[in-house]
Amino acid sequence: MKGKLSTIVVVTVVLSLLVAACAPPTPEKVVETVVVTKVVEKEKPVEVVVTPTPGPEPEVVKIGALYPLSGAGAATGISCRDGVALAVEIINGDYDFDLPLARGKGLPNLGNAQIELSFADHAADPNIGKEEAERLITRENVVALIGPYYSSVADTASTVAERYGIPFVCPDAIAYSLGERGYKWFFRTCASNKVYVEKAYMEMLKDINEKYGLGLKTLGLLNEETLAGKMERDMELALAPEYGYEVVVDITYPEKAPDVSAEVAKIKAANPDVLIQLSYVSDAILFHKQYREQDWLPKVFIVSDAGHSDPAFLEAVGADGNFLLSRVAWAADLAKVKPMIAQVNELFKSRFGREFDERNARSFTGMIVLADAINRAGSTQPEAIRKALLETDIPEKQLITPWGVKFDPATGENILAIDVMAETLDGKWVTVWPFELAPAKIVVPVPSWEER
Amino acid sequence: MPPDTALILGVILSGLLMGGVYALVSGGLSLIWGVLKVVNMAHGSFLMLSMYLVYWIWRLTGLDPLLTIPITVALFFLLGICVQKGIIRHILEASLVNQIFVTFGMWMLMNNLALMLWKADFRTVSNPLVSGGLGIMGVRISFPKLVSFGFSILATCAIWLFLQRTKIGIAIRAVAQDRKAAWLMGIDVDRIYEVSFGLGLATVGLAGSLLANFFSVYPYAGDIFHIFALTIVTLGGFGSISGSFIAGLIIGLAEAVSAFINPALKYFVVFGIFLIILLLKPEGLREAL
Repeated sequence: MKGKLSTIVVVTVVLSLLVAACAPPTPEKVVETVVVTKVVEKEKPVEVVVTPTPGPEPEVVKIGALYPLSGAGAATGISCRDGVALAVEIINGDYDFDLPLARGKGLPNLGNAQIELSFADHAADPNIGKEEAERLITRENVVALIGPYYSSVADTASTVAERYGIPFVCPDAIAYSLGERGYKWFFRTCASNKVYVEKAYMEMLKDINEKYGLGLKTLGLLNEETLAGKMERDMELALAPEYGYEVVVDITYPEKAPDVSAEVAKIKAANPDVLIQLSYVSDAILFHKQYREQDWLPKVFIVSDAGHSDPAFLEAVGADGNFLLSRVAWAADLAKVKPMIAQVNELFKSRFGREFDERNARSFTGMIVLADAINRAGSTQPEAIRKALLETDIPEKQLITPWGVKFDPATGENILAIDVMAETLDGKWVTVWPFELAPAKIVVPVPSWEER
Repeated sequence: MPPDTALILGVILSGLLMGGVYALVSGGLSLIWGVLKVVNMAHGSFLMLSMYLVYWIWRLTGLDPLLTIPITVALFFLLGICVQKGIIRHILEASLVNQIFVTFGMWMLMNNLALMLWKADFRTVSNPLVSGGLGIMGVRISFPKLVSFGFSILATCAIWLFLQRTKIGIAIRAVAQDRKAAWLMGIDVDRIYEVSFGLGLATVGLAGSLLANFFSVYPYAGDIFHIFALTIVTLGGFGSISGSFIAGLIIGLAEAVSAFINPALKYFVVFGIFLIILLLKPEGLREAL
C-alpha cells in the first residue's frame, strides 16, 4: 500500500515537474491564456482581425515586443528588450543622431505619433511565444511585432503574425529555415546561419589556413538542441565537405545540463583542429570550465555568438575566455569607424548602467527599421507597413551596425546582412576578420592552457 | 595507460564525482520525506538561495565559497526550522495533493523572488580556491568536483552517525517509523520535525557552498538538481540516506556514460532508469530510516 502510494505521488510530482521545467509560466499567465483562446474561438478570426479605424492619425502606435523575460533565457531577453526600448526612446524623443527618425519627435508622417511598446514574455517556450503573439495582436491591438531572439519561438510566433496579417520584424533569430517558409509578413534584419556559416566561418577558416598555414583539416561540431543549434549543424555538415573539412565529432546536447564533462571528453577524444560551438550562456560557462579541467583546446575555436556574447560569459571565465572567435553583427570597436556608436552607447549606459552589446545592437536596429517603415507607410494599416518594409533601403552609414537593410521580397531576409568575426583579446571582443576591415590582428592558433 | 582507457576512466570518475553532488542534494530531500512524509517541491529553490548566499558573501567580503560552509549550513538549518514552524507544520495533516501544491507554490515564489531581486543574470564566483583539474596517469579529474565529493561523503556519514548514535537521531528514526507511537513514548514530535527539516536544508546549504565553486548562480539554477534529486530519492528509497547516496552515484554514472556515448541520450537514460525502478521496485534500493 505504502509502495503504491509513493508511486502515485512520485509520478504526479515528476510529471508536474517536467511540465514545469519545460514551461515555467506564472499561474496568472495560464489564466490569461485560457481567456485568449476563448476569445479567439468565439470570434473565429477572419483573414485580418485587426483593422485600425481610418480617420484621424493615431497619437500612439502600439508595437508588440516578444522576448524571454523569465527562465534561463531571461538575461538575454532583458538585454534585447533594453535595445528595443532605447530605440523607441530615441524615436519618440529628439536626438541629434544620424539614425532615421532620431531628429524630431515621434513619427513625423503620422503627426509625430509616439511609439508605445507592449512587452510579452515567451520564456523561451515556442508555445508561450505563440499564445503571447496572439494576445498582443488580438487584445493589445499592436500594429507590428518584434522579437524574439529564440529561433524556435520565432517559428511559432511569426506563424501567428502571418495568419493575422501583421508584420513581424525579427532582428535576432538566426535559423535559416525561418526565411524559407515563404511567409509574406516575416522580415529578418540579421544574417541567418546559412549566410554566416558560409560567408563568415568557412571563408575565415580558408583565409586563416592560407595566411598562417595551420593545416586545419578536421572539424568538431557542438550545438545545443533547439532550432538554432539544429540549423547551424545542418549548415556546417553541408558546407564542411565543400570546403574540404572532415567532421570528426558532432555533438548535439540538451540545454541547461548540470554537467557536461562527458561531452567534453568525447570532443577531446576526437581532437578536432577546429571546434564550432553554439551554446546559450549557462552551458557556455559550464563547457568552458570543462575545457580547462580536461586540459584541451582546438587550434581554432569558433563560437557562434549566442551565449558567448553575453557579458556574463567573460565575467565568469575571465582570461580563460580569451582567443575565441565569434561571428558578430556588431562590435563596440566599430565606434572607431562610426562615432555614432559611441554616442548611442553613452545614452544606453546612462539608462541601463551597462555597456551596449551585440544583442542590444541587433534589437535596437530592428526597431529602428520597423519604425522607419511605419513612418514611411504614413499609416498603421498592416498592408501599408508591409509595403513600406519591402521598400526599405537603409544604407549602413545610417545605422549602428556594419550592414544596411534591404529585404528580399521572396524570403523577407535582409540581403545586406553580413557578419564579421571578432576575437576575445584581453577580455574584449575585437573585430579581427575580414583582415582588411579589422582594427586588430587575429591570434591563431589558440594558445594551450599552459602557454597562457 | 592507453589514451582511450584513460579517457573512459575519466568519464566514469567524473560521473561518480558528480553523482556525489547529486547525492548530497538528494539526501536532504530524502530525510524530509522520510520523517515528515512531505515532498518538498521547493528543495531546488532552497539550493538556489544557498548558492546566491554564497555568491553574495564572496562578492561582498571576498570569502571563498568553501569557507562559507559553516555559515550556509548554520543559516539553512535555522531557515529550515523557520519554514517548518511557519509553513510545513500547518500542512502536515493535509492531503498529499495539498502538500504538493503548497511546496510547489513556495518553489514558484522563491524562483520569481530571486528573478525580481537579482535579475536573470548568470553570476559566477571567479577564481575560487579550488579550480581546474589534475591529471593522474592521463586521467583528468575535476578538482572542484573531487572536493565536493569528499564533502558529500563526510556529510552523508555525519548524518548517518547522527541518526544511529545520538538520542535525537534515534528519536527522528522513531518518528519516521511511527509518528503516533513516538508521540505516545513522550517524544516531542514537533521538535523532531523542526530538526529534520533543518537538517534537510542544512545539506542544501552545504551543497550550495560546493556548487557555487563550479556552477553559475541564476534564479533557476536549482531546478535541474531538484529534478535529479527526485529521481535519486525514488531510486534510493524514500527516507534512506545511504540509499540516496548510492542512487546518486548510479545516476551520475549513468548520465556521464550515456553522454559519452551520445549526449542526446543522457536524460533518456537517466529518466528511463527512474521509470524502470518505479515499475519493478517502487520501494527503491534501500529501506527507509
